[in-house]
Amino acid sequence: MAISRRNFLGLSAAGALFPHQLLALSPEEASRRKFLFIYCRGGWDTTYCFAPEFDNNIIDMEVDSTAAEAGGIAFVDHETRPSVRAFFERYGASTAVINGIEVRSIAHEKAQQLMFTGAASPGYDDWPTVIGHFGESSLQLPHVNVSGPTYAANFQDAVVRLGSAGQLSTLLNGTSITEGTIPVTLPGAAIQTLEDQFVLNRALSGSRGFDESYSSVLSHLNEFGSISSQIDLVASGSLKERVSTVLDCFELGLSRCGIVQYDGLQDLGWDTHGGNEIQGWHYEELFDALIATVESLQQRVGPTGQSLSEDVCVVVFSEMGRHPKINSHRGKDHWTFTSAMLFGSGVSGGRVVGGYDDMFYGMPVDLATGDLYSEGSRLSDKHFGATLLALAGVDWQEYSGGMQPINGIIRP
Amino acid sequence: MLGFAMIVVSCGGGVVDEPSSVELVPLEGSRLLRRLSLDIRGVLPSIQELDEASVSSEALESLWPAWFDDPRFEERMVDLFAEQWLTRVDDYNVTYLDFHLDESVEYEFLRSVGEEPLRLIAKVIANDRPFSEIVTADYMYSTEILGDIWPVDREDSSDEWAMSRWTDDRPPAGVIASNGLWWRYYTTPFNYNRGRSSAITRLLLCEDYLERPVRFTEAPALVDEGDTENAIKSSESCMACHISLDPMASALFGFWWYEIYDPAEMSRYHADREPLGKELLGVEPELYGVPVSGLGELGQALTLDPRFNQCAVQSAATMFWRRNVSFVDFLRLSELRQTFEASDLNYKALVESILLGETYRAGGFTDEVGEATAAREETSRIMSPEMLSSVIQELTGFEWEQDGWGQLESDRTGFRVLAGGVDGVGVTQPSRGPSLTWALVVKRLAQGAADYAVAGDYAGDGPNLLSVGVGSSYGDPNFDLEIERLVLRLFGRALMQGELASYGELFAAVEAEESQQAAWRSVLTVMFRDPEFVSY
Repeated sequence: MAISRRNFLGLSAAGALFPHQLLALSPEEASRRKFLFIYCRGGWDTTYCFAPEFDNNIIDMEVDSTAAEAGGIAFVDHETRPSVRAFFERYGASTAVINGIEVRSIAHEKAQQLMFTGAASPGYDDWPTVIGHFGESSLQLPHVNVSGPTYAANFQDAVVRLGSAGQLSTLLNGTSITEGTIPVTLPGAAIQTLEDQFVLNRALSGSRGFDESYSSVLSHLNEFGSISSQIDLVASGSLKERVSTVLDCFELGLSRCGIVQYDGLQDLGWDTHGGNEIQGWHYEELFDALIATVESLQQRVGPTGQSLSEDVCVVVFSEMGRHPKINSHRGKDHWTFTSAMLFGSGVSGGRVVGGYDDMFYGMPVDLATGDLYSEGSRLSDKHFGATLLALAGVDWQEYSGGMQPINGIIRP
Repeated sequence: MLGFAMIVVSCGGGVVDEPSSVELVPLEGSRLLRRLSLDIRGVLPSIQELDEASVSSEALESLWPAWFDDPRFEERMVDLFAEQWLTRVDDYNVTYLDFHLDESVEYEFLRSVGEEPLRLIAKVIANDRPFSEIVTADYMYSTEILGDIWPVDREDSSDEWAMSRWTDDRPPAGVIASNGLWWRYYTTPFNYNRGRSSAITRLLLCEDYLERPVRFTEAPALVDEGDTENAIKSSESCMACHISLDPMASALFGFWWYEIYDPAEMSRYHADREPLGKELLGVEPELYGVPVSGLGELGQALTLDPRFNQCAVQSAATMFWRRNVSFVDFLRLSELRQTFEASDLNYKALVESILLGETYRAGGFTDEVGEATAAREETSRIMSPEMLSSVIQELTGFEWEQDGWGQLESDRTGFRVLAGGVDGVGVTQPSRGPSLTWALVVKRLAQGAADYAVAGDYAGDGPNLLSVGVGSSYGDPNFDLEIERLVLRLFGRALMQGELASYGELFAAVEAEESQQAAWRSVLTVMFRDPEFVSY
């Protein structure tokens, strides 16, 4: 039977032609993959970087910016953002940009939840938490939250937060309790070890589901406590420093996922209802940090003995985009369509998938190829999540509401 | 959610997957008493209560309903509503500095604001008032700080939270006339209170507009100036929400601030701005088609909406079942609603019904448990940070504070989120299971509390947690008695075979290494970290 392209798409969409995993990549490679999430909270203006919509006269583009292309990526260039240009020139070939993702909300909290979980209601784990949960059971910090949100409903034991003021560090070294209002004396290390082992044995001897979870957590805690000094766990440094903490965790084989929230230059925030020009400052600092991230990944060796750059996929995203028009405060208001960028392990780079139409709405895409296709799918937060889960070798169908990954940006 | 459930029921002729006693093993005896005590009062049952309850199940069942009159039940209500109302945050648009307060009261300032609506709810419940009063009350409760910075007339009272009345002509509408709620759910000038309308329906009617699927591609052009406001009034896809959202928002303009970072703007109700709702939104105030004259009538109308009672039941079930409700709970929720309404909306009666149910009392699964039930039901719960705090404080007197901040109740430098709690913004659901950071917080809390209690008891001015153990070592009769008593008090059960020796060995090892006092400290530390202590 001859199968037309259209039939092929229909069959594959229904899962009839291939098991869905086969549309992605080898399970072994995917299950080894690690993910660094960099979340730009507040809603970034995609027209400062990912959306060179200079031919669309409804969009107020930045003055003096120009359309450019490097490494197969079309982007918005500006003389004040040399790092953006440098990044795409050097690493565009391993980078994919997704344009026109519809988040289905313009409220920060809800848009954030949607972009992280694909769901507007509570009770869902976010993509990093799911991926962390399906990592190796030996991981002590499956998903390390250095800063930013984490939605954990069913897989809470996969998440380890450092705390906004580096609280995990003070808990580990004990100053959290010794420096409180009531003076406390901690026992020596030998006695603490005895106590730790006693509690672990008690949990191991229990028969409830809670006992099993608790003993697993305690085991990881005991192991992590002995090597935590090798990591700078302070979560309030620069973006580069916070990324470095995640990479430390990858290097030591502690984590599969990590998230860092980036609030822009001097934490001015991406929510630019006024003074939209600071978007440019944020992108410049962000891409400078991304270049440093790639360089660091290339220099580090993971527990498997190969360069971390072979193992780590970096996901850069925001919960929404910004309105095409400048408002009366020289800012831009919220917009439900946004972009995301992936680079590194597993990413079929050098390409931009999706796009923006005349109304600055997202355009439909052929998910199999990533090409624009008028009868294809309009990209949503769930497609974004399904793509990440597929890259991680996780059964995306269970967690993406049936939405398929954008296989066109997954390296075969 | 329940609308969906009704469809399932009518199509299927019965509720699918209704958990039954075939699948669930109920908690009994002292372990049940322990759960009840923790959930109602936030503390463990005393040894005397454990003794009384051990006589018979009837004795047990006659014991706990009186705990609803314990002042600590009100505190539990504040903690549990905080998980859902998300008002107990560490940052607002204004700070203590804006009110010229001293830095030493910053924590008190934040908690006073965040708990203001929660305290009204808890007082309505504690005082056996109809639950509907939370949106009709012409009074509020304030702390001294709130009495100083807000336009309220505070009654003389030795209580931290005193009954008070607003003095700025705001309508009597309980929590929806509260500053604390609208400081948390503020509106930008051009949002026109729509976000607040959505908060009202989510919190009081369990109707979340933000859960509705929205596709902006189905709307007309939204790019040009005025497009959005036009679309809201003309596009079907926009009107589906805004036709009911906007009239509600129209009733809230007394809280519409010209400047969202201005403490004076934020503190007062602006009765003169009430007409702006119609002017700016183009609609008269109403609640789902029911016209209202303003905020006061909005509160009244909310209580007449059939979803109000239903939502109260769903919220309470979520609190005490420690899980989200779903369509499989439809029948049980219906029964609870009948009980609630038959009691004239007495919230204690509602909670009592929940605590009598098998879902609440589930302590394990039978061999016949189905996969769905096993995945859904919480047969053991972890202590929340607030519960850990109250339990440990009651047992030992230890309070984990730094610079006046409750370390288990805040996140600026504290550990609320790391211990599984909600911060109201970034983390909006409490943890249901243990995590590495939760275990680490428990460890440090246990060490601090044990050190404090043992030092006090050895000095003769402690909490008397070691009633006979002071001065005794493993092998002494008093050591055995003390361990037996601690196991009963902390775990709610009798000592098991081999357990005494296990504690004895730990004790002996630490005593040999350091001292007898240190050995007791270690015993208490491991008990406070024990899986049977930290879960219930």
